[in-house]
Amino acid sequence: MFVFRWVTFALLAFLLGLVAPTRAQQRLPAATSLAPEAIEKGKQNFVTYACYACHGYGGQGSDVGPRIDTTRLTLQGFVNIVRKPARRMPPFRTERQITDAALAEIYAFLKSLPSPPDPKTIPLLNGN
Amino acid sequence: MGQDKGSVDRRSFLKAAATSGAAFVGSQALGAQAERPADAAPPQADAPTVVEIVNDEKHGSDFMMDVLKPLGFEYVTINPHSDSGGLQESIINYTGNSNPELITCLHEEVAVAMAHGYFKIEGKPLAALMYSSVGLQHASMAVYSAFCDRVPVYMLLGNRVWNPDSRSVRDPVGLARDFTKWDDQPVSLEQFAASAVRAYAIAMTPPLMPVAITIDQKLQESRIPKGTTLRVPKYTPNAAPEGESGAVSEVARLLVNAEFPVLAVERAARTAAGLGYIIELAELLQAGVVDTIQRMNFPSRHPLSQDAAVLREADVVLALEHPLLSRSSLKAGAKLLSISSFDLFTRSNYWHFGAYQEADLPIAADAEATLPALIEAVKRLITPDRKRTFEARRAKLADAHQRTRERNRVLATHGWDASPLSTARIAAELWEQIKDKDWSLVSRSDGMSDWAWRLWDFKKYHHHIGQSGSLGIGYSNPAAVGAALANRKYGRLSVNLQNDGDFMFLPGTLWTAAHHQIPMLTVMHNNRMYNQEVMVVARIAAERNRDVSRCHYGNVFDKPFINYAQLAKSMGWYAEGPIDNPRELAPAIRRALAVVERGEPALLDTVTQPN
Repeated sequence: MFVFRWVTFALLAFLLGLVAPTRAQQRLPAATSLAPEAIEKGKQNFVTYACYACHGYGGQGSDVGPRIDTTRLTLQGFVNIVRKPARRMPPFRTERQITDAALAEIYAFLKSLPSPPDPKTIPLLNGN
Repeated sequence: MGQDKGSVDRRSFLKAAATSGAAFVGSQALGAQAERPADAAPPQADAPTVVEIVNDEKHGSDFMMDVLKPLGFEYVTINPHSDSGGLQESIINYTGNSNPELITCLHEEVAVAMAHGYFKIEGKPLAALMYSSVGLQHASMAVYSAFCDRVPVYMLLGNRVWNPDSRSVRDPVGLARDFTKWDDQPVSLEQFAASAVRAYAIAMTPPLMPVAITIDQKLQESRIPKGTTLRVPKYTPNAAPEGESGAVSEVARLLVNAEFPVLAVERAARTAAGLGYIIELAELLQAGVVDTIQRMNFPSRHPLSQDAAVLREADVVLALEHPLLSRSSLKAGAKLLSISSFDLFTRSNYWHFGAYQEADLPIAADAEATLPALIEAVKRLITPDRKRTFEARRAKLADAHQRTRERNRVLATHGWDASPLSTARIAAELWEQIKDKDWSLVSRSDGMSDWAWRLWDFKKYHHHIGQSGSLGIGYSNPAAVGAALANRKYGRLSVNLQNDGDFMFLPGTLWTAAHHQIPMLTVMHNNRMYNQEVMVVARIAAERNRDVSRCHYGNVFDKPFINYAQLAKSMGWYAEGPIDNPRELAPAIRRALAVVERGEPALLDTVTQPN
C-alpha cells in the first residue's frame, strides 16, 4: 500500500511539474523536436565526431565498436554513456567537445535507422 | 624463354650428377607438392656436383647458376641494376629463364614481399635479386616482415667490391642484419658455392627466416679460366628441431588430465601436414582451439574452433608457435605450456618478441615437427574414462561454436543494404560466388572486421596465407601477387581483400601481376582513410578534452578520392568501380571472376564502411 501511494504521488508530482529536471535534462532538447532536420544533422555529426570510425556510418558496428543502430538507450542514457563511457570508447566529457544538442541529433539519427533484416530473409546468410 | 645453342652447349659441361641433384632437391624441398607434406623425415643426401671448365666461355655468374638452379628456385624476383647484370644475363641465357624465371618488379620491396607471399603457398623460397645498397634499403621493410612472420626469402645482392663506385657498400646487409638470419659476401666462386647452399639450408631450418648473399660484380662477370674445377656442394635439408621426449610426455600428461585444455595456435602449421596434426591433436583431446590466424592452422568451421574468450576457462593452455600469448589472457592458476622455435633464434634490437611469456613448461622446438610425437604420447595416455569426459567437452564446445556462427549471421545483417558497402555484405557476396571453386585467400582475413573468417569455410592449407607478421603497411598487395603466382600452376582462384592504405605503398605491384599474367581477384577495402589512425587521434583528443572533429587531419584520402579502378586499368588490369551500391556488387564480382578464370588479374574498387 505504501508503494502504491508513493508511485501515485510521484506520478502526480511529475504531471504537475513538481519534480525538477536535472541540469542535463534541462539542456537536452525534447525528442519530438528532433526530426527530420535533426536526423540529418545527427548523421553529419556522426561523421564529424568520428563516431563512424568504430561504429560504421550506419551504427552497424565493427570489430572495434559495438552496433548501436538498434540502441535501446534513452536519450539521457545515451548522453551519459558518451560523457562517461565504460569500456574502450573515448570519453566526450564536456560540451566543449560535443554539445548536448549535437548528441541529441546523433541520437535522433540512430533512432531513425531501420531495423536490420531478419537473417532468414537473406539467402546469402543461409547457404554454405 | 628461349635459349640459344651456345648456352645449351655450355650447360652440357655439367656432369650428369647435376641433373640428379636438381631432381632430388626439387622433390625434397619444403612444399614441393600441391598440399604441402610434412618435412620431418630426414632426406637422403645426394652427391655433390663437380663442374670442370673445359674452355674459356664460362663466366662466374654461369657457375653461380650451376649452384642456384639445383636449389629449386622457380622464380627470381628482380628489380634490375647494373651490379647484378652478370647474374641476370646468366639467368636469361645460361639457364634459359626457366626454373628460375625472372619476375620483373618495379620496387625492391615488391620483390621481397612477393617472395614472402609465394612461400606461404608453395613452401619454398623465391630468390630476390636487387642492388645491395639502394635496393636493400628499399626492400628492408619487406625483409623485416618476412623475419617477423618466420618466412625465408633468399636475397641476392649485387655489389661492386673490387671496383667500387658511389653505390658500393662495404657491409650491405648491415642495415638489415637485425632481421636477417644469415648473410655472406663471398670473394671467390668456391666460397659463393658453399655460402649459397649454406644460406638455403639456414633459411629453411626452423625458425625460417630471410638470408642474403652479396655477389660481387667482378666475380659474376669474370671468365672462369680453362682447366678450373669447381664444386657445387650437396644440399641436404636439416631435420626440423623436435621437442625433448621427456618434456613432450609431460605436456601430453598435463593435456590428458586437464579438465578444460585449450590449444592456442599462431604460426603452428608450417605445412598442410601441420594443419592435419593440429586437427588430430584437438580431436583426440576434444580441446578448443584459439587461432590468431597467422597461418592456416585450423578450420574456421570446425566445432572445436573457439573465440579467444575460451582461454579464460582453460586450466591448461598449450601455445603452439605462439610466443606472444600472454599469461594475463588466462585465468589465475592455469598452466601455460609452450612449444615454439622462437627462442632458437632471434634478434634483440626490434621489439617484435614482446613480453616474456612465463610459460610453466616451455619447449624450444619446432611445433609442427614435435606434434607427431605429442599426438602419440597423448594416445597412449587416454583411458576410456577420459574419453567419455572428452566427448562431453566436445558437445559444450560445439554448442559454443554454433552460437558464435549464429551471432555472426545476425551481426552481418546490420548495415546489409548500407552505402558505403558493409564489409560483411562484401564477404558474403564473394563467398556465394567462390565457395564451389578451388579458392585461396591471398591476403589477411582479419581486415574488414574478420568477415571472411567469420563467414567462409576455411579448411585447406592454401585457403589462407595469414598476415604480415610485422604490422608494417605495404605487405599485402605484393604478398598477394606472390601467393597468386604460386597458386597459378594449380589453377586456384586467388582472392585478395586489399586495404586501400596498404595498396598505395606499392601500387606498381599491379603492373607485375599484369605483365606476368598472374590471375587474381583483388577487392578493395576502400574506406578512403587510415581508419586505425582516425580512431587513435580521436581517442587522444577526447582524453585531452580537445576538438575530436579535427581527427581526420592527416588520415583521410579525399580531395580527390583515389580511383583504384582507373589506376588498375592503367597497368593492364580489368577493373570496375568505384562501387558503392550493394546491388551492383554481385554482378561486378561475376564479371571480374570471368576475367580471372581467363587467366588475368581483375580489381573491384568497392567503397566500404571503415571496418
